[in-house]
Amino acid sequence: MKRHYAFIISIVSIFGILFLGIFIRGVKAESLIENKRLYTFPKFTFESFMKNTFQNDLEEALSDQMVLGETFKAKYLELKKQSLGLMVWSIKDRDDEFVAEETSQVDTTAEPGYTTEETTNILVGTVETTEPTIASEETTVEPQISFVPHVEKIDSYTKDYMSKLKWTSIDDTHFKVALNPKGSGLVEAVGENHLIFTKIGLSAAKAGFENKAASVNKLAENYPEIQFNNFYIETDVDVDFVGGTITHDLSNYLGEQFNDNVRFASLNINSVEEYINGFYKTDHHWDTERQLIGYQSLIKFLKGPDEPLVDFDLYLTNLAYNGYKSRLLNEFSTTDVFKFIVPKVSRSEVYINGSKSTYGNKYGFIKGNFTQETAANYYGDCNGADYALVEYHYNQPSKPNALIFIDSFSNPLKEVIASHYNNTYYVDFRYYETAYGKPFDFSEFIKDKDISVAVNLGYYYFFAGDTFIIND
Amino acid sequence: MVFSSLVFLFLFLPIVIGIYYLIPTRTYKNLWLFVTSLFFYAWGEPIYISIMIVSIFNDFFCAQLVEKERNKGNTGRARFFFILSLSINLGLLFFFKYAGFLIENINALFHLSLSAHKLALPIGISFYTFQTMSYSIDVYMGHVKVQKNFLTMAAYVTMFPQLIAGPIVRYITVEEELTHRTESLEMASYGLRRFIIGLGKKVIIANQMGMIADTIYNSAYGTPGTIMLWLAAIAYTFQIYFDFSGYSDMAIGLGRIFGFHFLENFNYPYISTSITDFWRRWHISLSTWFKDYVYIPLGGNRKWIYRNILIVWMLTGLWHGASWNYVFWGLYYGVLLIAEKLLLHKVLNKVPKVLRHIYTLLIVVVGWVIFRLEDASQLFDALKGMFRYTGTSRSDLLFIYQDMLYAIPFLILAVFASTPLTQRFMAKIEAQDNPVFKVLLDISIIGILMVSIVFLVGEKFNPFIYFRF
Repeated sequence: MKRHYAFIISIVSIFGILFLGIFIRGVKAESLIENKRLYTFPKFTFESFMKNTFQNDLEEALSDQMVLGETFKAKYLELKKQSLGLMVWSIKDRDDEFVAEETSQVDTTAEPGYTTEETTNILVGTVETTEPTIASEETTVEPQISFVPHVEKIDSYTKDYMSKLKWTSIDDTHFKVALNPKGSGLVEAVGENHLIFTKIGLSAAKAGFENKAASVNKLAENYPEIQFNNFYIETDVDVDFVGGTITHDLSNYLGEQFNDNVRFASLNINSVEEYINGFYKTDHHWDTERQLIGYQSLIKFLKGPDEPLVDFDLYLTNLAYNGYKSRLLNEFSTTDVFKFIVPKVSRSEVYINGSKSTYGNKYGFIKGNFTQETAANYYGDCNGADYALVEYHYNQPSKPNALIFIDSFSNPLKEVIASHYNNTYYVDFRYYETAYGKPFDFSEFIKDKDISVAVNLGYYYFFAGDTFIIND
Repeated sequence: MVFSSLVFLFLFLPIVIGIYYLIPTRTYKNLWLFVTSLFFYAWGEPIYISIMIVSIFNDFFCAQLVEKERNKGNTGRARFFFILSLSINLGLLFFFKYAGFLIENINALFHLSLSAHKLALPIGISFYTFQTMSYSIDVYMGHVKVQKNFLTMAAYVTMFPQLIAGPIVRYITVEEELTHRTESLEMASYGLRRFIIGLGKKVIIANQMGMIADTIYNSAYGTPGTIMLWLAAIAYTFQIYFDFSGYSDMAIGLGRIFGFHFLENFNYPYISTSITDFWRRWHISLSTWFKDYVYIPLGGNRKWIYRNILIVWMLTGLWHGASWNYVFWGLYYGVLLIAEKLLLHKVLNKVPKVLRHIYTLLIVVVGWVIFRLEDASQLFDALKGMFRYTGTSRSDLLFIYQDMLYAIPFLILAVFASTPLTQRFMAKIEAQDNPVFKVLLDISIIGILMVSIVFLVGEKFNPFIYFRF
């Protein structure tokens, strides 16, 4: 009898602590590790119950708010990681371990370095050094109480990533990179620890690409006065790192779906080096090097080769940056040094969701207004977040007004792209309907804002996903 | 709502059990069970709850009329109401589950373009329809007394422990307990332990097996190699067992908490030494339902035995799903059972047990492939690939199928847990006088609960890609 009492009381206690403890601890708003606002307990309405949204939201809220919930998630991921590691160790052939020096064609980069206008010291935590310190994969990033922010303008920055990568080039479109599987669709480049999503197969992409192109083609037919442009940004999902080939099959197929009166261009990754140096190790977004190339290519495509391009200042911080891929694996040891570019443009008026505002916090970062936190989203904090509608008004009436449909790849470049137009409207369908209470009305918008140029700007998921389809 | 959801575990179940034990009278306990079961069902199917209520009313009132007419000596009219009741039950099931399938095949055969309704299948309709039909049949056959209390009847049909995933509880099993049952600390404790073990089977083992099977079968990189196909087949074999038997354990455990003794639904089917033996151990409530209500009335072993076996197994396949692969799967077993009856049993009796076991498992694993793959061309490619060797490179295993690699070690747990070793071990401990081992057993079960919760919460880890960017 005592045994049964003890057992039942133990079970009840567990449930009590995990659930009732929420109300003692208080409801949490955000998870830094998951980079998201946590679900809170939803309000019951008959409509939400009948649509099943109340049920889903309550389930998510319980998971997000449970006492020790983040610990459980971390433990679960750790278990998966250990189990995956064991399997990889047992499957992998030791002889396959790639050693760069033994191959006939080895590509190396220059030694890491940068040039500055003036010699400065970079402080990382409390460590002072006269050489630039690049956060390596060995660095364990923890919130540093003694962190002293440092930022400086530099002329250029050269990464040493390629020198650490275990790879060989076979020809222009074939290569071999030593990789480790990490789970969650990610592989890790041995030596350089770059996290890379595996390639998406063309068969998986076709339906989404066809839908997107069909919607744009239809708009182009219905609105012949608007110039429709599509700019596709290749990322890791476009390159077969496992098979070691570069084919551009996704961007080529997408380009073929548009009619002749719809313009298309893609920013292709033509070599391993372009990818490794152009993208963050732990995030799917492009780093400053690729952002600059992307801006130049985009403006040449939209405005022609004679359009004068804007110069930028490049700033280097002492922040160690972890992106989405780190959060997916809940691993934060690999980081990038965080840099950002600031265009040399004239002032403009910025509106966010209809209200006058400022976009991003580059000037705050220039002043050193940042702290080092594990998994903090510096790409978004510095360059600007995602909003339903961001407007730039440059008061250049001789230039056209542009409507640009985007994902978060545009965030570092919104200001500079907009400087080539009079008024520029950046619309993000992920947030539009929630912010404005109604779906985006293309016809109404182009009339109201006198739009003559429409652009789709994004990477694979922007062009393949249903969320970004523009309905007329 | 499902048993392995956080809402069920942390909100629904504690409230339902807590208030149930505070209610003093049987009638109000049944009322509470009925109301909470309706809520349980409405949580996932707010609209289709009406279908279930129609089904309950149909069988309740038709059974009353059957009894009334029979007492008057009007056997013809009694039969009429019985057939009416069955027709309504089967009509509802047919409309929601099989109408689309029928129309699809008519269109294919006669090159027509008839359109079927696009209504979703109500959750659990196959289970509760068979349950209510068993009541109507048993009343008509005189095996049970008609239930005059609608609430008691409704509580029986809607009882959430077995409502959406079985076992198919026959009215005769719980007739007495519906009105005269006792709850005790010992029963509640047993029920909780059984529930937790079922939860562990589902969350810790079945879900990981599902990851292996899904990753391989859903791969966008062409037909997998032979080893991968066998791995997927074995993983699915374990997935379906631990999913289903886990749910049955949870249902039986919950039933015990409320004072009900549901019959066992699985008896370690993967230790079977023949297909006949397998089907005495797998989804017992369904196979006995078909035996008692279809096979025996058709003539059973006495008349047209092989025809009866094929009909029962075709219907068993169809019960599982409205698709040809399920029909094929049912007939696959029908033919094998006939083969065993006719000649294989003589061969099997002479063969060592281990070989009989291997033979059975081989048949069962291939059967589950047929069950899993609804697409005919994918099924054909998979079966071909399993028996005509194509290799899988180490690179493919490491990268194309990497998402399931972490789950492979769980296969060892699955193999171990599919045998009666654990049950025998637990039974030995319970039989002992020494309380230390019993406490250790309870601690292990609590450990299973904690691991299950970690897995349930962990599976919801979903870092947002775009927040604040």
